[in-house]
Amino acid sequence: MLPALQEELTKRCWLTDEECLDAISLVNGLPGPLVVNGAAFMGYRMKGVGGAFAAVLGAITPSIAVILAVAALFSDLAENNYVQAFFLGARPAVCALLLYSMVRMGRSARLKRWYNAALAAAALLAVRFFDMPHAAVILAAAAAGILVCRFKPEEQGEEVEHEPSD
Amino acid sequence: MSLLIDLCMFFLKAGAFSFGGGYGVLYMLQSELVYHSKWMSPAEFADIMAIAEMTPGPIAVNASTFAGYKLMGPLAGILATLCIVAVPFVLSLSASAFYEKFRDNCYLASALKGIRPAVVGLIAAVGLGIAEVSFPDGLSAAIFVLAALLLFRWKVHPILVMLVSGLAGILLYSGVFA
Repeated sequence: MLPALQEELTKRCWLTDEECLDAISLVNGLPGPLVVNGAAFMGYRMKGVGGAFAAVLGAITPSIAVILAVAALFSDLAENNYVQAFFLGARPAVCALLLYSMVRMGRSARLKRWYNAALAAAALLAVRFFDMPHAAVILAAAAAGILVCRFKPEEQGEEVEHEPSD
Repeated sequence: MSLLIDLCMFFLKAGAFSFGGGYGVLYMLQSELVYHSKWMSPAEFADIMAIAEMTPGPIAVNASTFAGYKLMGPLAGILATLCIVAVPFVLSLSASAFYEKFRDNCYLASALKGIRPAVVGLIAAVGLGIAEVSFPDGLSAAIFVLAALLLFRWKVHPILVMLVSGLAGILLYSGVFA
């Protein structure tokens, strides 16, 4: 969705390409869905706080409307034989999709380096077998990232490429 | 009413720690909604994921709208979504306002280098939780292989992969061709 957003904004001369790329790389590091963050960032650049509100509401309203409609339909049809069979087939596909996004994110997380791979494994073990809270894992990982950059200064300058997901 | 406040607080917190884009929030949703407060079963969560993947829009927004709806109706669905984007919204807004300072903050960049790999591990945890309820028999394993091939090998769009797999489910499980 972000590339589409960028094209539309630059075509209308609301923002330059450079401003869009800056926005994307910056909000990539913040929590939250990339599209929402990007919309807030760009909206603020254009029209201040009001612009940010408008942009984010515009970005999430269609999703909310579609999901509410689907959810209402689904709760009526949940007992239906065909609907249940559909979801039996969809569940393994969800697993495949999660694997797919793991591989894509693994690339931008540079899992080929042993310490990054170790960090990923540690996070999995921490939540799966030691029942550690999610927030603690994120904070510990952030601390580990800062430590790694201390001891491996070559990591510091590396550009983090943009992850093309929502 | 107090349940609604609990729900809002939970989605606010989930949003605040949803590093790594939409997928970063899934682990938190799963662990809280399914394992801790037991608001829904693992299979129900798997179905929410399926619907969130099948509809356009950010997966975190889709999943939280649906989860809120399922728990307490349409209003809760809207509230859950507003709560989950609230903290990221404020942060992005501040990032935009204090752009120059944010851009040159080296701690933010290096913290992110640690968070990214950890998020991959968290997604693996979500996948394991869903896999536990997704493979009742060999047919579902075959659907998994088909979906993986479509995604990795033929680069088919995820929404299409979900639809194909769901149709395969109807063919194999509904008994219409048995």
